Amino acid sequence: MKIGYFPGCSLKGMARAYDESTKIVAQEFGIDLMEIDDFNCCGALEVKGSNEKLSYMLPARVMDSAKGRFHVDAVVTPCNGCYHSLLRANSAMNENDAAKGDVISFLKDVGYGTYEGDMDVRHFLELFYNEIGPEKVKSAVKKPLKGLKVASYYGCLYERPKTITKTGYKSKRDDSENPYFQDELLKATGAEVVEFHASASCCGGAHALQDESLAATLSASVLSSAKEAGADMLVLPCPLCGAALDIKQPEIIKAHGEKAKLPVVYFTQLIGLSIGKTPKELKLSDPISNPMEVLKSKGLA
Amino acid sequence: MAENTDKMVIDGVELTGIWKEFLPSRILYEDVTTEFLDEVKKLPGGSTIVRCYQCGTCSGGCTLPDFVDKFNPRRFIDLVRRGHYDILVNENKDLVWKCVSCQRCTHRCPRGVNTQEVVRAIAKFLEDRKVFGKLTNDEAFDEIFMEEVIEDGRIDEIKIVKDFYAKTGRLKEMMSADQLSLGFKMLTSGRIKLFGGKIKDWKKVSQRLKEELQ
Repeated sequence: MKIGYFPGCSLKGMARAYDESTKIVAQEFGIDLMEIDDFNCCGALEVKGSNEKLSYMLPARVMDSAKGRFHVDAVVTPCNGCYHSLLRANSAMNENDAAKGDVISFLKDVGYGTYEGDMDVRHFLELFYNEIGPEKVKSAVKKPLKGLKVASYYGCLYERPKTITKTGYKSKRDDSENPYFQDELLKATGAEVVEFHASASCCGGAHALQDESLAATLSASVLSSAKEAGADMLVLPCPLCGAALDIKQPEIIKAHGEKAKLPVVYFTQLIGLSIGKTPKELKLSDPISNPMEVLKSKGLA
Repeated sequence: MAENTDKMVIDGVELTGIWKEFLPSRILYEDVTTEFLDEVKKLPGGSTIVRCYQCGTCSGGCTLPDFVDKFNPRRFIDLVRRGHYDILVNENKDLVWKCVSCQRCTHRCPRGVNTQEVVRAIAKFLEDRKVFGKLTNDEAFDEIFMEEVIEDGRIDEIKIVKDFYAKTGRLKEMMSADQLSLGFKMLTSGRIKLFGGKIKDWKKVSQRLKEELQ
C-alpha cells in the first residue's frame, strides 16, 4: 500500500531511531511510505494554546502537500503529538465552517492547493496493526525475542481524546481505555508482555521543560510501574514519550532513584530485531537508557 | 411552539412562556459576573467551557490529583463561571497551569467540553492578567515555540531547549556535566544536526503566518 509519511520534527532529531526503524519495518512488510519531505511542524501543544487559527493552518499545510505533491488520500505518522494535531485540524475543518474558511484562504494566499480537511490520518502503530497485523509478523519472525519481558506503553494522544481520534466511531481505532494493538504485535515477536497498569498513563512529557520536577515524577511513576511488573524494557510508539522517558532518564533517576532505571525502545525497533534486522540498522544504541545491555544478556543482540 | 405555552403554576406563581425557559443556567444568579467567563470563552480552546454541567468526570479521571494536591479541573471551570476571580487567583493560580495535557478529561467528558484546552485557556487568562508577577515557564516556552515554528517551519530540539533556558535565565544549567555529556552523545551519534533541513518556499508561508498574528 502507498501512503504519505509525516515523520514530524522529533523523528528528524533525537528520535532518529524511530524514523529509521519505522522505514525499515514498513519496507519489509510492503508499506510504501512516501515521505512528505517538505513537511513543517504540526504546531504541537504550544501553537494550539497560543493561536487557534495557526493550530489548524500548520497541519493543513502538511496534508495539502501530501495531497498535491504526493497524490495520497492517507497520511501516517509515528508521533502521537503530530497524530493529534493533524486529526484535530481535520475535526475543526469538518465541524466549523469558519475554521475551514480560514485554512482555505491561508493555503490560497501561500500558493498551495485546496485542501478541505478530508485526509485519512493514521498512526503508524494503528496502521501496522490493521494492515499487517500480528499473524504476518509472527510468520516473518526469524529471531524470536524469547525470554524478553516488555512493558507495552502507549502514552496519551495515541488513543485520546475520542472527539479527535474518533475511537469507538471508526472501526480500526485501538481501544481508548485499554489499548492493545502494540501488546499483540509484541507478543507476535516472541516477547513476553507483562501486565502493566500504567500502559495508558501520562509520562508528563508535555511539561518536561516547563515543570521539570512534576514531569520527572510522572515519568518515574511510569518507569517504576513497568519495572515492578517485571519488565526488562519499556516499549512505546511516541517520540515525545521517548524524550521524556529515555533522554530525561538520567535526571529522573537522580531524583527518584534506581527504581526508575529501565531501558526504553520504540516498538518498530523490536519488530525489526525479531525479523532479523541488526541492532545497528535499528539504531538500538541510540537510547540513553541502554537497551543493548539487556538485549546482549538475553542473547538477542 | 403553541403546545409549550399552557398556563402553569408553581409555588403559587403563575408562569407562562416556553417550557425550556424553565431550566435556568446554574450560573445566572444576581451576584454573579460573567466577565471572566466571557474572557475565557474567547481564548484559544476556551469556547466549550459553557457546556460544562459540573459532573466531575474530568476531575475523577485526572492524572494530577495523585501528584498535585487540590488539582481539580471541575473547580477551575466552576470558579470562572461563577465569577469567583479572587478564589481562582488566591487558591488556584499555582495549580491551573500544571495540567500535563493527557486528555483523559476531554476524552471522557459526556458534554463535549474540550476540558484540556479549557484548562489551558484559564491558565492563559491568568497569565494575561499578570497574576504571576513574572513570565511563566509556559509563556516563555510557548513564545519561543511560536517564534521558531513561524520562522523556520520546524522545531530544532536543541535550539529550543537552549533558547528556553536562556529566556528563563537558566542557561548555566545547560552547561552542567550531565547535560554536556548528553549533548556530546547526541552530537557524535549524529542526532544533532548543525544545519537543519530547510523547507522550500517557507518564507512566503512564514510571512502569511506573521500577518495572522497582527
